[in-house]
Amino acid sequence: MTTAIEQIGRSGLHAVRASLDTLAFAFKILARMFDVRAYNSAVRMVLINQIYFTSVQILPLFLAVAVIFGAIVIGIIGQYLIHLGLFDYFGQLLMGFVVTEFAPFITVLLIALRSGSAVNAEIAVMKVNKELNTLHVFRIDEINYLFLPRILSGILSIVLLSSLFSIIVLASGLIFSSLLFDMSMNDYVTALLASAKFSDLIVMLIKCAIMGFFIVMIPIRYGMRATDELTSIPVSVLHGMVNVFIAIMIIEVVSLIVVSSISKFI
Amino acid sequence: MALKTEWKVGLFIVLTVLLILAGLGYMAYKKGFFQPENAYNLSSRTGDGLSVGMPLFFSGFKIGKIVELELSDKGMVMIKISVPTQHAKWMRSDSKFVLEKPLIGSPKFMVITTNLKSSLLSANSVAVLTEVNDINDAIQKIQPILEQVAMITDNIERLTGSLADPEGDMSKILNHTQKLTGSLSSKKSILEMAVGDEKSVQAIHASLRNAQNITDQVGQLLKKTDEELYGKNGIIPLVIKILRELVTNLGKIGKTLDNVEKISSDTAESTKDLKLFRSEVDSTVNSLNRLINELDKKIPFKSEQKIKLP
Amino acid sequence: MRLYSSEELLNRELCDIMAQEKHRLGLVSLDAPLISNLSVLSNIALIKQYHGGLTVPEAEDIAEMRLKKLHLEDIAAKRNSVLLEVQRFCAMILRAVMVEDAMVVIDRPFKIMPDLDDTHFIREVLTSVDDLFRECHIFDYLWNEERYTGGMIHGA
Repeated sequence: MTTAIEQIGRSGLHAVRASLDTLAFAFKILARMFDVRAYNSAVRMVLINQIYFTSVQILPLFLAVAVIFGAIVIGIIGQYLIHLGLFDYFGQLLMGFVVTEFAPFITVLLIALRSGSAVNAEIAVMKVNKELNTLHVFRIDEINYLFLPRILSGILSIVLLSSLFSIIVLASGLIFSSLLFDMSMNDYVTALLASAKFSDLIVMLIKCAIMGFFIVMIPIRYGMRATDELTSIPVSVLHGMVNVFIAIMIIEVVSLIVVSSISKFI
Repeated sequence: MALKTEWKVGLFIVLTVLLILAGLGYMAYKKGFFQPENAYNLSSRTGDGLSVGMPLFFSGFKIGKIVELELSDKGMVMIKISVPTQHAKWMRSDSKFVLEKPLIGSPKFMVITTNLKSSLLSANSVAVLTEVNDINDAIQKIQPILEQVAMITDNIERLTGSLADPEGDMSKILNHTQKLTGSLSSKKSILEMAVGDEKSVQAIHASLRNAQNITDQVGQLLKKTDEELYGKNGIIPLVIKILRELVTNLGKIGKTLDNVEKISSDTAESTKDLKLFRSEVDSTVNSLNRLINELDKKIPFKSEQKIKLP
Repeated sequence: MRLYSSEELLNRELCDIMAQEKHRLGLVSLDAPLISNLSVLSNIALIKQYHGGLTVPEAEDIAEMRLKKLHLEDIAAKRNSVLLEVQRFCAMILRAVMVEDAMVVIDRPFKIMPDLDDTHFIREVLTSVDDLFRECHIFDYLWNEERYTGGMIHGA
């Protein structure tokens, strides 16, 4: 009994310590993010490469997913609204659900699955290969050179791709709502504009930036936990991705609470 | 390779940012962010239901919003609204500003302009905001009806109390009627005895044979009795008259109760009581009618009818 | 040339020198491999980019010239995993000499190139780039002494 309670206490303390470490690491990176001296040509090169791998390479797949998901979601939402006699809320659902919730969520999932896992594995491999030691020997700051460009790329990619996803979904929604629901372009645009709020879009962009930060930072942290053994690489990726998923859920819930608090306050 | 990558990344960032800015710009343009705006001032007794950013509607269209709320030194709420220039034409000097608080849903702030020929609303003037509160209005409208219903219920209660009271007027009338009919019944039995009893008849015959004066006296007595009972000022016509009047009055009460029933049709409980009372009145009237008929049947109350002595 | 009888001793001495001369240390060691997701050219150029503040083309131009000096321009675009042992060693030497006023420290060269019989190749490479570093130290085990026929290069 005592042992079990001790075990629970140990696990709790470990979880709290890990969370605090992660937050401390996050603040360290945030502080470095606003230090101009951190950005040299090497860091810029890594940043450009990371944006290329995270955003540009994925673009064809991403655009296809946006069009397909957009058509499906708009079709389903429209059908249900017609069925329930609530088609007047079409614009509100598109702006409130598709743009502010669905687009960031799908983008974050795609980027987390593709780039988050890649970053986790990359850092873990570098750790196993002692490449991090190389950086240390040559006085290359790992936060500046490795972490900062990857995290910045994550933030930028999620913000840009999420916005792009929203634009594409809304554009495809124009075509599909016209085909499926006989909705004119003017009606569609009016419905969207009536429901669009700048505050919602700003909250959405901030949420994307926070998600972008964490879905790269967490894999980096777990990649750094790899040991010298090759077998530690999949273990670190596994833990990293599970924690990324938990972080996405937490950010989603927190953002919903924040949004509802803001709307109450306003 | 590096240059190519840089070029691709640059193109992606530039195009996406341009697309986002274009979208936001279009949205801002359509929402009237770039349009010059006119400011107007309103005053209100209370700031309840008002908030900064609350839209102003005209004929169901959003034409402006509240930009500032302040409490004046006199305790009035000063409302500053902003309306794009293109919608300023709807703001006239005789426009009415209304804050509608529906029974369900959030308050709606709107301007009602009926005369578009009147002068434009000046930015310096302070219009008064009228509050339309559905809940309070409904309560105010219902209040007199409820008071009337309460009065009717009181009256009915008093009426039924009076009817039920053994010392009440209605009970007294009914008691008197009962006594009267009882009295009549006893008199009827005397007559029967006078007519149907063999000994009496023989006594009368004996009396007729023996004493003509007694017969005359009996004849006079019977005549007198007949007049007292059936004469114009006799007891029986008087009773019948009273009973008929009673029936008529009860009929009137019935009609009144019908009206009461209509007025208070919403109050289910009262309706039940009224229906019950009505049925009681109806049954009383019916029983009285039956009583009169019974009397008519049993006593032939016709002035021309006379007891024919053998 | 510094030869040690045990690995522990060697590591301790290596750590000491690394700590003392960290600002001009150009380490050539399997414990400081080439970055696997960068080309040889980028690995060499990285030092000048990061510490010299040079742009990518500037740093890569210098790296390319140095590769040419060792006639290794064909490996410029290659990654660490596909390099031959000698190519890897040369790339690491070129990266080490990119450090300003470099003190090149070669940690157990025969561990990097196990097929070598002597230091002839090492000396050849170092001679080719001797204008690019200030001093060089080779750390190895005592039992490899016979392989070092020519002794130390540049003192130490």
